[in-house]
Amino acid sequence: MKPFRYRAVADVPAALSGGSRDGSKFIAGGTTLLDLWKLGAVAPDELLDINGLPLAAIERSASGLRLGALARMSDVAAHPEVARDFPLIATALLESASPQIRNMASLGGNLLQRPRSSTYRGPDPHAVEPPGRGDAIFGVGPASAAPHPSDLAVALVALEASLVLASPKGERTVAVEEFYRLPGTTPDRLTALEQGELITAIVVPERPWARRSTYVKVRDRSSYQFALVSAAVALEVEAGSIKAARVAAGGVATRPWRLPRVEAALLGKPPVEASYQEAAKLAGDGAATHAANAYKVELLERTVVRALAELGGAE
Amino acid sequence: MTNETGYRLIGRPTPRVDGRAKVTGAAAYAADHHPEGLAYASLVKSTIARGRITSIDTRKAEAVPGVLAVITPQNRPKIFTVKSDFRSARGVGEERPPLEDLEVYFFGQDVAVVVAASHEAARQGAQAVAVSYQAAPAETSLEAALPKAYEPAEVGYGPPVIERKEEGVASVEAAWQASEVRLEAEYRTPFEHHNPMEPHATVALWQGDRLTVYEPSQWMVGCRNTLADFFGLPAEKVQVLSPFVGGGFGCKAAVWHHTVLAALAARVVGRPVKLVLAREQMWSSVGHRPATIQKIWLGARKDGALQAIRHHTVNSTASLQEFAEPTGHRSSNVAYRCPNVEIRHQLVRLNVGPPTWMRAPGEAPGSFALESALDELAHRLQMDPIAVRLANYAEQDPSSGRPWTAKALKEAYAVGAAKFEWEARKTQPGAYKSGDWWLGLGMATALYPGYRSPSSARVRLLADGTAVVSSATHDLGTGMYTLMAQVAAEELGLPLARVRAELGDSSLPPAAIAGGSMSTASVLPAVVAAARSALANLASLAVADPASPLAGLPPAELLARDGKLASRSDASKAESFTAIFARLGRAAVEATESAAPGPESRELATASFGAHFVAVRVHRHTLEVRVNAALSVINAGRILNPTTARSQIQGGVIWGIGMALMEESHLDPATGRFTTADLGAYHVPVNLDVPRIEVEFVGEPDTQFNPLGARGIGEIGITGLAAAIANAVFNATGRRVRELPLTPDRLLASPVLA
Repeated sequence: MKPFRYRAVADVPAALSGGSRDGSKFIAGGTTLLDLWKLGAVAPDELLDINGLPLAAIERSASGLRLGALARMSDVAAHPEVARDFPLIATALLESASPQIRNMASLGGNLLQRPRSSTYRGPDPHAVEPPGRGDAIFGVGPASAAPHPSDLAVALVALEASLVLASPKGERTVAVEEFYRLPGTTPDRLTALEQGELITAIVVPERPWARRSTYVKVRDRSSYQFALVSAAVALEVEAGSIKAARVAAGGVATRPWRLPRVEAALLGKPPVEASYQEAAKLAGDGAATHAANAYKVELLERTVVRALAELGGAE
Repeated sequence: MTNETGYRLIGRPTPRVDGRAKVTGAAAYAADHHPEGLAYASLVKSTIARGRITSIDTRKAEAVPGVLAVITPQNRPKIFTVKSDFRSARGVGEERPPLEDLEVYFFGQDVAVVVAASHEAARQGAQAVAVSYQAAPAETSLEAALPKAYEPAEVGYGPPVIERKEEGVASVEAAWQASEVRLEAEYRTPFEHHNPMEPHATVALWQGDRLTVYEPSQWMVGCRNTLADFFGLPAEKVQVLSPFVGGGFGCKAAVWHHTVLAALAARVVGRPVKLVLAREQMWSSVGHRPATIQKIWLGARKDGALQAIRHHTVNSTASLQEFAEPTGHRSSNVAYRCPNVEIRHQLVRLNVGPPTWMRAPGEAPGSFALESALDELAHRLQMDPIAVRLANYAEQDPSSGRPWTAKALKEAYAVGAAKFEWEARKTQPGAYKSGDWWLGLGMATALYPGYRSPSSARVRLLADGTAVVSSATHDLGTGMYTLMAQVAAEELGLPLARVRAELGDSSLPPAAIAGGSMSTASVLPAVVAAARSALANLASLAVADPASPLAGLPPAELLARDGKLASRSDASKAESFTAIFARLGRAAVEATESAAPGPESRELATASFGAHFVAVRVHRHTLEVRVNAALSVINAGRILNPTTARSQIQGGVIWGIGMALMEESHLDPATGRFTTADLGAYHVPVNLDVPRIEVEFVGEPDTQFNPLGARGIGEIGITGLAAAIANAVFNATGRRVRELPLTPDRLLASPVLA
């Protein structure tokens, strides 16, 4: 809870020049950063308030969807074109957090959430969390088995979205799937973001399956809980068979996790529960489990089946 | 001198009188107090479960701008050791004094406190204190430490072992073996932490050797006495103020270390000090419900009549302190008629902070085991679960043989079954589906003992025709302000709006602890007595005044009605309170009275009873359990205020939903740390988890228990509820889950039986 300076910046260049200094951090909604600060997990010298930057637009075009990084979760979820054309994004957002947090939290901040473990949320980045029922079964490293908490990130991976990152050196675009790193032995490097680099936008490409997509999140209580297991799914169906499928999972991996073998197994099959059951058997391939989280393999299979079934079989 | 026409205000649905202050923010809770010169304290907690502190480096903390003092075991001023003792009204959560020495007995033990000019500096200072340890082996797993289980001297103020046998029966086990139908099952309940909405907070202020403490407390008298003992003061030098409490549930009943440390810090820095626990400190500073492992054996005849009950419990306790969660003692010992009963109880010492009372301690986890087992028995007998309970209905308290003052449980079953359309329920699991959800119905008995303790109250009639009713009792959100005002206004013949209630101040007439659901039955009879005495005092003054129209009448001839004293026999003889006062030239007339259980309490047994009915849905793929509807039919004697009473039962049911489906504190065996130490990881029900909860009250006023005929209702709502949900889950799916909470992973691990 170290004191920090606070400065609001007026435009992107000012943010980027201020943000490149060691010890400075951007603050948008603050729903994560202030928690981490109180817990001693971060101790910035300076907070740069970026809420005044013109990065909150939600733009629908023929090439897809562009979401400003400062767009609020609740605004994006309620946007009629998002809900109509990318229901997976709207559902994943509405299944996240609470209305109060969704009203405050920016999309960029959502993607930069830290996993819920003392490794990431306490003063000691080398703290190792004990095995627990919440642990990931994929992408587990010696430093952490905590699953990535963002529902939106799982949806974006299924939709093959990218992030636009700006820095004083210019802009670059990184696929969401490549943005997140496995914890390995460097849990402090969660993403590809460099010091001072700012997420300015999320770009979701136009894809035929995006309209037939949804998100299912399984948890102990009905709301305001991170996923035990979640599934982001999208299907394109033509002439009674599955032409394209996207399946990504949350709550099971240290970063948003695509399930390409499940996707492949769905191709050419009729969109019926038996097809989903058969394909979902591959969901747990490569899982590394212990006694407390072994259930996640079966729960993941069941969640994938449920999510696909909820899409319905109509073309 | 009572009203003749029956009750005017008692029993009428009445919105809480403190509601407006609460929703507008006008109600000042402990942490809302900012006396002149206030400093702030923050705790430093141990990061090992057992061992010894080898060094405490406070230099960095002391260098933080604003830090005033760092108190450690090495410089802590002297304080005294205080032991809990109900009889003398002392309650200490953790009996080893704070910062006593360099030994560490659990993860999260207080090892230092930092005092600073601002909250932020105090917290920064606390994070900067560097503590080194020599760690020692710790007991951090109930499972692993089970071989060390031992029988304590006392469980629930009685012996740890209870055995009742029919003549000629060799042992309860033999009776079980000889039964036509036998059930044997093990049930488990996890560590739970209370987490009231308001975390604990203390503002401590010294004026010379007088200590004033703003503190959310469930026990004004106990808190005052205990703090006085810690600092070697006479009790009258300490005042505890607790007019608003944001939920207690047991964790605000005893005095915990942070309160003592706040007062100590205030003395050290010579300024008032505020200490607010951070939410994560609620997992180490203020107690928890211990984990239990309960083994139950039920033996029955084919007609459902129980022949034997054995209920063996092991619960975790702290390494330095014993706390027995009296599961079998408060469930299998008292709930049903059975000729052969054996209750045993053992403890396992772990390196955790001391457990404490948590809403229905004993009854809540005990009823989960017993009421689940009865459902399993009913299924095995192919009997209706209500029929099995009726086959074992206890007309007397089985533990004492004394008659119940009131029961009406048969009525509760009948009313609930009719309202819930129980008869239409299919006993075969998996019989109902709605879309992708299995549907199931379950029920269980609710039971909570009726307690009553000596309490006192003062009623003060004021010259402006209003009155103030005062007692050092508590309103934890329960509705006590409203009840005191209702009961006093009833007796005084005044409108509710002209009576103000005062509580939560240790300088008021002493009252019982807000525990054991006994405040209503303990305090309100004293309010009645005080109101009558105050009226009698006023009447004596009025009849002695020759200028009064009441002059010369015998005081007993007067009654209070519509703000007046009036003759019972001659309605023309009446005078308003304000007129009497105006002539007397007095500001007030008052009386203080006490009330206590009478000798009948030794001949009769008292409890509240009820029946819960719940409907659940379970997703056929992902096995999440959600509650669709709940109905609780409760006999709690006379219901003084149906509005707040309903809220109490609903609150208990919501707690039961949390207990059944999501609440669990995970103790890491490697470190002894509760890893679920925030409200993102420790789940309590959200609005979406809470369905429509219907509450019906049955039964008659229990006037054998106390003159008002009311029993407490704070805890009965949670008893049996978790079992009703588990039983409904079985009805929905055929999966019998014997370990709480009923999360999807536990359902997956429980095979379909039916």
